[in-house]
Amino acid sequence: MIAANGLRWILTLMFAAPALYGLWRLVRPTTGLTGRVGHLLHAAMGVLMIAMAWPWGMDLAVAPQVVLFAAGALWFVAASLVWPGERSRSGAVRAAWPHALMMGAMAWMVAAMGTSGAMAGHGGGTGHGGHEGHAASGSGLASMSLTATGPSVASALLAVALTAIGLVWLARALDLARVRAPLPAGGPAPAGTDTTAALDPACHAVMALGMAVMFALFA
Amino acid sequence: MSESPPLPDTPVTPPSSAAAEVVPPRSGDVTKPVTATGAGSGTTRASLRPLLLRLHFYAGVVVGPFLLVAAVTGLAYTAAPQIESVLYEHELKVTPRGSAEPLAEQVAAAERAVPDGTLLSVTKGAGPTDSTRVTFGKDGLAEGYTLTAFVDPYDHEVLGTLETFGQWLPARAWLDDLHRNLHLGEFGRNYSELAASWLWVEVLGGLALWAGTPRNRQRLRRLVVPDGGAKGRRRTMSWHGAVGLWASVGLLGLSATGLTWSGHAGASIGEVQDALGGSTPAVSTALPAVGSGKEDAGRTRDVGIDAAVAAAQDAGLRGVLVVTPPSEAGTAYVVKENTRSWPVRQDSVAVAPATGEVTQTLRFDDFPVLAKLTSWGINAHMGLLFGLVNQIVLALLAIGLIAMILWGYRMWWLRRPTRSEGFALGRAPARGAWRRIPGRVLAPALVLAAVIGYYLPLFGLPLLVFLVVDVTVGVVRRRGTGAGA
Repeated sequence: MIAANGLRWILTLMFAAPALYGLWRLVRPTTGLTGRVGHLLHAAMGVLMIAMAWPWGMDLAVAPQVVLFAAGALWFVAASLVWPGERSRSGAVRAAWPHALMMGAMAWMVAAMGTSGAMAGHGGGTGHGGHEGHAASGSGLASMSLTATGPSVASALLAVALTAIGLVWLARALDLARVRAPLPAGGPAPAGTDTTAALDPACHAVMALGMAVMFALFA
Repeated sequence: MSESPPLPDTPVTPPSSAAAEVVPPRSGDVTKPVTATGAGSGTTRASLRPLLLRLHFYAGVVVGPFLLVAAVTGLAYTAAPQIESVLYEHELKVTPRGSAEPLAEQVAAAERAVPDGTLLSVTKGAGPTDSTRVTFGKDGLAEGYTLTAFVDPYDHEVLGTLETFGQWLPARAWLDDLHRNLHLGEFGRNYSELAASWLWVEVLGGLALWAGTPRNRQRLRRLVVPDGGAKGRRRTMSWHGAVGLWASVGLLGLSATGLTWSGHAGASIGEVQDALGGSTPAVSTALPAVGSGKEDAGRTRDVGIDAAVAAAQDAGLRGVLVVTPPSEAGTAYVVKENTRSWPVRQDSVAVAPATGEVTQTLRFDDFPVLAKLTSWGINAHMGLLFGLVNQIVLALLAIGLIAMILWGYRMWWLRRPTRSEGFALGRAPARGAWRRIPGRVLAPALVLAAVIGYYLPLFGLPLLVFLVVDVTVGVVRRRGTGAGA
C-alpha cells in the first residue's frame, strides 16, 4: 500500500489507463483469442496493481493472485512458442519475455507482501495489518517495504529492469505516434490507417514504469 | 494488429525512420506533405535544439516575473548585514571594560527585562565588543518569532529588546520574509519555490542553447565575451548569453539551495536526504541513566549556565556559542557553536546539569557529507560563508539575473512583427519540435521530467499545465486549418 496520497493517485491513474485499454481491446471484434487472453491478463494486472496501492487492496487474498500471475507468465511464454504468428518463434519469444517478466514480478511481489504479513490470507488473515496508521502518517512514500536484504535487492533489480522495459516501450510508442500518414485536408485518416498503433506500447510502458515505481518503493 | 502473437498488437519492430512509415497517398486524396519524425532524422543534438529553444522561451516568458522578483528581493537581502550593523549598533556592540560578568547574571537581568517570557537560549558573543543575546518565547508574537534581550556583558545592562526571527534582527527578518514569501505567509512561499524550481531549467537550457550554437574558432570568444559590435537583437542575445554563461554556476547553486528551503520540494528533498543518511544530526538532550539513588539528586541539581559553557569550551568549542538550557528536569544543556563563516564551526555538546560533565559531543567534521554540503550551501546562499566577498558575488548574481531577464524580454520584443498594424508580440519558436527527437531520447527525457516534476511540484505542475494547453492549442489550430498533426 502506498502511504503518500499524491503518489497513490498518480499510480492509480497510471494503472487505470492500461487496464481500461486492455478491456477495450478485449471486447473489440478484431481481437483474436490469444490477444484477448493477453489483454485480459493486462487488465487484471492493472486492476490488481491499483488495489495494491490502496488500503483495501491489502485485504485481497494472496494465493489466487499469485496463481493468476504465475499462470499469466507461463501463458505469455507458452503462447509465443505455440502461436508465434507473423513473427519467427525466436522473435515471438523476444516480444513475449517482457510481459512474462511483468507477470512473474507481480506474482513475486504479491507473494513477498503476503510473506511479510501485509496482506490478507497470511499469518492468520489479520487483514489490515495496521496500515491505517501508515495511511494517516503520510510521511513516508510507502508503507510497503522489505526488511530482508535478499528480497530488497531483488525488488531493486526488478525496478531497474522494469524501468528499462518501460523506456523501450515508451520510445517505441512515441516513434509510432509520430508517424504521420498524409491526411485529407480537414478530413479523417484514410481507411486502413492504424491510428491506435502507439496505444499498445504506450500502455505497456505506463504499466511497466508504474510497476517500477512500486518495486522501487518496495525495495 | 495481427492476432497470431500472444501479445497485444504492436508492430514487430518500430519504424526505423519516419520515411519508412509513410503511407503513400491514395489517388484522389488531397494530402499535406508528410513530416519526418524523430525516429531517425538528423542528429539528436540538432533535433533537441528547437525543443530546448521553445522550452527556454516559454519558461522565460512565464516564470520571468517570478525570477525577477526573487532577484530584486535577493539583491536587497545581500545588504542585510550592513543594514543590521547600522540600525542595531546600540544593541549589538559594547565597549570592552574589564572582565565580563557571569552569564547567569546577564540572563537574570534579561529575565527582569522580559518578565513574561520563556527563556529559550543564550548566545554568548565571540568577541569582546559583542553583546550577549538572551532569547525568549512570548505569547502574541508571529509564528517563528522570538523576543531577544541584548545585554552588556560588562555591567549586565539590558541594551534593548528586539523581535527576532531565529538569529535575525527585525530588518533582516523583514527582508528574509520579503525574499521568501513577499510577506504573504505560506501561500507566498509558492512564488519563491516556483522561481527556484524553474531557475535551473532556464539556466541549463540556456547554457545548452548558448554553448551549443555552432561557432568557428574566431567567434568562440563570443561565448564568454558579449559582442560589442553587434546590433539590435543579436547584441542583446550576446549579452544575455555571455552573462548567463558566467552566472550559470552561481545561479544553479542558488536554485538548489533555495529549493531546500521551499515548502513542497523542501519536504521531498528532506525525505531524500534522510533516506540517503544525510540529514543534519543533533546532540541528544537525554541524560545517561544513573543509579536510582542518585537519580533524584541528579534531576534537581544544576551547576548553572556558566559551568555548562566552561565545559563546552573545555571540549574545544569556540566562537559564538548558543546555549539552550534544559527544557525540563532530567535533560541536558546544549551548547552549540554558531560560526557560519568559513571555516564553519558547528560543533555541539550536551552538558549534564547535575555534574557539568559533557555527556555527548557532536563534531561538524563528523557530519554526513550531505549535511555539510547543505550547511555550506545555505550559508553561501545567505551571504554568510565568505563574508563581504560572498555578499558581493550574490549581488552580482542578482544584478546579472535581473539584466538577463530584461534582455530576454527585450529579445522577445525585438522579434515582434513591425509591418503589421497595431500591437503584436514576438513570435514564439515553432511548435512541433518534439517530433524531430528520436523516441529513444524523448522517452527517458519524459520519464526524468516526470520524476523531477513529482519531487518538485512547482516545476511539474506548471509544465503539465503548459503541455496540456500547448497541445490543445495545437489541436484546435490544426483542426482550424485542416493540417495534419
